[in-house]
Amino acid sequence: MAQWRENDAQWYEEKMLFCTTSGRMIARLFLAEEIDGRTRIFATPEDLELYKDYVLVERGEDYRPPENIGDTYADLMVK
Amino acid sequence: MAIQQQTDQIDPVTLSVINNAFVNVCREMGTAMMRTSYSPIFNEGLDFSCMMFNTRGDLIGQAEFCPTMLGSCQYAMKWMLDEVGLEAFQPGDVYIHNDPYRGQNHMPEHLVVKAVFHEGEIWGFVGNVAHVGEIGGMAPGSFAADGTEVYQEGLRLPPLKIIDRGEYVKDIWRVVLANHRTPKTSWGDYHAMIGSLNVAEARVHELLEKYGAETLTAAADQLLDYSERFMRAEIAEMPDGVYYAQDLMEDDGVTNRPYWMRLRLTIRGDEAICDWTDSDDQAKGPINATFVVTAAACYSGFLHVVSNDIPINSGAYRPIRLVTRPGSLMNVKHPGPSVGGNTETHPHIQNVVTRALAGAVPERVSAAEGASSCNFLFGGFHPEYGDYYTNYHIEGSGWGGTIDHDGSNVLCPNNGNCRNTPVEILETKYPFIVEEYRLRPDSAGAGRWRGGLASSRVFRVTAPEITVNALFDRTKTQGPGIFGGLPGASSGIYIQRPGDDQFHRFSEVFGTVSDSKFTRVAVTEGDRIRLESAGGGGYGDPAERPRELIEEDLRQGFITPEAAREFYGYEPETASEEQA
Repeated sequence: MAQWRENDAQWYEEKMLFCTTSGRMIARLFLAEEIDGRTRIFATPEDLELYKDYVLVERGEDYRPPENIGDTYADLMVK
Repeated sequence: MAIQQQTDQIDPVTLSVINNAFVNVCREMGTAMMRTSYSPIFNEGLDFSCMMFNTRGDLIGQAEFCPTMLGSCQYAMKWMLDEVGLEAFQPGDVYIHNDPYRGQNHMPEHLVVKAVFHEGEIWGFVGNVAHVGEIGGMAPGSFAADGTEVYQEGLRLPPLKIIDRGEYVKDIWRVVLANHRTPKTSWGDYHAMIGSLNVAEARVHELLEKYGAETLTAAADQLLDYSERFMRAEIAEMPDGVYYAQDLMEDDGVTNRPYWMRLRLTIRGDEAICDWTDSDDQAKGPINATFVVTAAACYSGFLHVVSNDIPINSGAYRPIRLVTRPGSLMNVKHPGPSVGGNTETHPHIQNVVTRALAGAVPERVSAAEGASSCNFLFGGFHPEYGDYYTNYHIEGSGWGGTIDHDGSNVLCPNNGNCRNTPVEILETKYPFIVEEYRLRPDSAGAGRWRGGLASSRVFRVTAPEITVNALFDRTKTQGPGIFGGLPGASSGIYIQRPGDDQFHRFSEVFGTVSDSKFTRVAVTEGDRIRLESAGGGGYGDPAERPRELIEEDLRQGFITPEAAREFYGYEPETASEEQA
């Protein structure tokens, strides 16, 4: 169950939190949910939804692009 | 007298009138900025945007300003509200904010906002974002083109109160101005920004008097929802699918290697997912995009292909979803630099969005544009006036051809919507003579509809010494054509020293790592600097270009006979053929 939490950084700290889906930095409030044993944080409920129905489905957890990904794009883009 | 309309839904006519009133408030703010600012990048370049926000930080009003600012300002505003709190704003307060690590595009762009109060409550905010031409850092003009940290790019301001209930917060002003090379110019430009807020505040008060706060708030909310529905309807008309595109930044000013951006665009019903996770890791140099730059470029890319009738506000952006990887070229992490991410990477990003959309709506897209602002910055002591000056100069590039038009010639890249600065202004204010400013023949990518032409400009230095910086891209690459169209010409910046009859790259003469991104090069009297912008790509097969259009280009001097032959297979008719 997702819960709203607050960034606990002090005003003198440079503590940056990022939405797991969009990568957007979070100023104060964020949504936290335990997914596959890990706490993931999101800027908005829509980002949480997109994580579940797009990121996990299409990319998987902790996706990193493969070395030759540029060749794939070169093949797939409109000429 | 207030028109008290307390129904759930405001009628479409009133809604349209209120929307246009919001637009006009922003336009009037812009006119005030233009007429009262000090620096050419404000009053000639118009590198600023004016806007209105609701109390949640949503963009509810804007006008025809810079797409990059208009797409990102909601993030900066929301951050400000989260960090300082709505309750912190008092009548007469003005807050400022330029921090790329708090939702801003890049350091030179400063957001100033003022709350508009009605009957003791905050109704909303008026604000503007403007490119302040000098904010300190390692290079005059604050484009640290070979910098490796945000701290080299100037003075970073989290949301700060600079006017407290109508009074200067002098300690803040003293710190800020002590860190700018040209504090008097900053003073003037900041006051143009603040003055325009006062103009807008008065106009919003008139609207509140006329319509009442409830109606105006309801109208703003309805406009947000209407824009969202409109954008969703436009996206829903596109074929569902996954579309791919990529492009590269040629180098980052620090390491001589390319950096790639890659978009996996999913159209899914009435929503678009812009997934950039396949892009390269962030660069050492300042070509990184902040998250909000990437977001704004995505919004702008879509706005180029959907109906012009969508009221542009935060609602229009809602159906466009972002997936980015922090620490990548598309979402820089602290303390990475990002000043060029907004001027150079942004137009590339938008071109990539457009390229991906070509798979879905080929009839609505254009080929790539030149996509470099050709940032040229300089500073020094003026030999005639004696004071220290800096200036931020940009050039227009060629835009891409479309399904039924040639690309426009020499326009500011799509992220800026800015203007060039007249030669007379440049020569009056700064120790240069502009010896040449012209369209470059053969710079447009050939196509059924060719790209727009690029420009060439030659400055001659008339001061004993000027420090120059540059942040260009597309000097080694070209704006691609599409559907058989050819790429536009590359850009470039070159120097000719007195006694030499040739122009050379800066790397040859000064040993800069990059030909297109460098800082703190001292040029001297008699040196000539040539700036060449990049041309736009062509749309469609050049062989299909009508002969009369090729001949018109020849008559205008836009192409040479050699290029007409090479790219279009054009041969002039002989006299005997003409007689036949």
